[in-house]
Amino acid sequence: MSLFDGNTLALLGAAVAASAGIGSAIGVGLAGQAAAGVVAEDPKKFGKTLILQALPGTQGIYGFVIAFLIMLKIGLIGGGGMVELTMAQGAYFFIAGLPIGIVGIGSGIWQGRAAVAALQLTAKRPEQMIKGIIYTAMVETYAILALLASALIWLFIKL
Amino acid sequence: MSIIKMQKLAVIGLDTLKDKVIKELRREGVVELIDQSVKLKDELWAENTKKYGEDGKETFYDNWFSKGNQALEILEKYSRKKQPLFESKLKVNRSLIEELLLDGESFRDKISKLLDLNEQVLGLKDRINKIQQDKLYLKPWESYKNDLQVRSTNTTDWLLGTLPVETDFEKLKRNLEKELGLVELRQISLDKEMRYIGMVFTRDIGDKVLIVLKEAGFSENLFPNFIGSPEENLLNLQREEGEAEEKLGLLIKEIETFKQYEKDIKIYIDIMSIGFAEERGKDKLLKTDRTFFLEGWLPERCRHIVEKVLRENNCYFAFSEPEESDTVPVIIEQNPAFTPFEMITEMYSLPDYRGFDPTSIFAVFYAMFFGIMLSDAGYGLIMMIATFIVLRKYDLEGSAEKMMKLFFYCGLSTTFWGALFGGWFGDIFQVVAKNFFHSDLALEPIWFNPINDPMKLLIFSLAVGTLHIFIGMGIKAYMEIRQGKWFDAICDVGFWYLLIIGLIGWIAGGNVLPVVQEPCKWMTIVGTLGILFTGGRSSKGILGKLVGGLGALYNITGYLSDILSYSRLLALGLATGVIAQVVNTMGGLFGGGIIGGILLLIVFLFGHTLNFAINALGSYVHSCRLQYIEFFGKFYEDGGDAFEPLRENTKYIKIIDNE
Repeated sequence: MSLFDGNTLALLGAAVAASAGIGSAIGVGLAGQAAAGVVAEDPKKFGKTLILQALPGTQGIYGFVIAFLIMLKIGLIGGGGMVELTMAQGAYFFIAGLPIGIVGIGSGIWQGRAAVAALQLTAKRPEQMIKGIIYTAMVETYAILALLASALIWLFIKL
Repeated sequence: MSIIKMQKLAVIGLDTLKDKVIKELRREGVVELIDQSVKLKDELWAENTKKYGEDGKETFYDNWFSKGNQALEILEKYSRKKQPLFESKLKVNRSLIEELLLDGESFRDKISKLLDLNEQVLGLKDRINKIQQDKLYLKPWESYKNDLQVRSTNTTDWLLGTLPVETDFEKLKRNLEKELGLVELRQISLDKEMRYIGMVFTRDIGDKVLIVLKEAGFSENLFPNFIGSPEENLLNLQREEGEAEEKLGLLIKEIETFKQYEKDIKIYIDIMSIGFAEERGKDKLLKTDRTFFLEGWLPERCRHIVEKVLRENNCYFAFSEPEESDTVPVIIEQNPAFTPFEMITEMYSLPDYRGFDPTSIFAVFYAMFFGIMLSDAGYGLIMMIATFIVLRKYDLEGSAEKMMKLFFYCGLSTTFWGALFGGWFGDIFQVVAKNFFHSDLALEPIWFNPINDPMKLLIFSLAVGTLHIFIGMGIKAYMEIRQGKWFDAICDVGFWYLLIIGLIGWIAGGNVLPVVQEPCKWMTIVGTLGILFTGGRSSKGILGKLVGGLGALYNITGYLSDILSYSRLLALGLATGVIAQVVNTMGGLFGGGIIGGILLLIVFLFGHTLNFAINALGSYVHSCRLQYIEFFGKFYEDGGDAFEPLRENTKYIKIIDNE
């Protein structure tokens, strides 16, 4: 077994998928800074700001879901031992990781920025918070589509 | 599922009865007063009428309203009990309301007393702060035993002050003592930044000493506020601080005793807001010497109530239908089962008075989307139980009640879809059965498990989405037909129905039922041509019409992306299911036995709480989005102003009539 085989490629795909967390980390971080500013003015808004801060966190979770699915299908998890993949099969898994890995980063960051704006909205007009949440969630659509693309590729890879 | 019919009301009555009429209208709470000040721009109106002048009542109510709220805040600040998340309203007799509007001396006394106590507390806290600063200031001088005010004898001057620690003290001391002679320099104390020194020198060399000291970075300390030695002063301050603290404690205890009046204060706050609203309402009226004039909106069905009030007060009045130019306030109304979903409509914006209220139509879809996205029967049951308990235990009103009921329905739907898809906290039953009982027992899904067959759910999602969108388009057609625009309805909706259904049947129908393929092909063609030829009918010129038609046909991409948008039902449903499974897998890694059980429980609680929180929020938001963008986008005319009658809008109390 060489160092670089189909299984390596597949695991690389899982790693790429999980990298969607970069976008979430940045997004949640941005939102967290803004949230702290809002709470400094009014500590009662902690619950509301926490919800907005959590919104850009989903990309990381989607990425993790795909990474987990890949690990499951190639038998890394589950106790049965890894399946021997050809280079081509490994490449398919690698490609399955790409949509959520790439889109997750961009969408996480920009969802974070939308969340920052929504937090400012919440600071000034708390009763309008839900609208801020909806604006923020619009960005997530593309992460969901990428999740779907990744999941469908993963699903139809034949072992 | 409708927008309530409104009528406009105009009233002329005797000025002497104005207060009574307004009070009774407020009690009925069905008339929204229209501000009449615009009429004063008209010369005829301006000559004969004017607004009611300010009589101080409005400011009085407003003032005590904010004072009451301050008092409540103070009580909350000093109360050790946490505020409950939900509160039932206090029940109050109507007679008390009317009585307190006129006279609430004892309530105001309590509020004033509380505010006064708070002022005293703030004052004391300032004082303690000041004492602590003084103590810090004097502390380094504690070993200086002389009176701080004595700074000279007959022939000598004394100096107290600080030097930066960087200054070489020994050298400075040598310099001064050697070169200038009669100087005595001593260190009193030393901290990280400063050296505190005192010195005595003969008065004749004072100037020279000061020059040397200044170069060394000396700054003099004067103690204008302290008489006697630092030690005496420190003792005094210590005693004063103790007294202040004690007094502060007593004051806070006294504030805490006001907790028993919290209800009274809440009642008074609400009464002040009722009074304020009433006075605000009077601002909207016009008056002549002997009469008042008002206009307002009311639901047609409440006419008899208002008629009765106005008759009893000998008013002249007239009802009329809204005119084309009027901005009519909007109330939407549904079958009580669908009322909670009004929240979703209101959040977007109420429909225009002449528009359409789709609440009860999308309610089923909303709950369904939420259920498919959260798709875990365990989570659904928790939502149902939690909301049921809250609804049972608290007497909720308004939006809080709507929200709880909405989540109850969503929980119900989640349980339903979760059971269909076989999600019970993910696959916890399988994991437990395998780890602890070594059995392959599993809770089989009633329908199918989307993780095993996502394509099935994807197709189902898109089909439901198409139906949802078609209903939206159907409402548009209905609205156009209602206005008599049959042709528009056929062009804007009919052809699109043909095109979309035809296209789906033509492309996909072959696999299921080959017979439909041919008719579907023709439906597609008719729909396409129809749109192409009628899409530009409002444009001018042949070229404009042609371009308009092509543009309209290009909208096919819009419909396509709208339908594909429903794929999120699958994606979010999968996300919940997979994360739940991941949690269970991780929890199951520890195997069986007691320790394995405990660790599984911890991972289970933590993981599923997190998964539930994130996905419930996601399901809520994305169900809203599917209504707002994909569904409302097809037909909704928004921008209605909510009907805001003059009424008893209370936060803490519920008024009970017992006459």
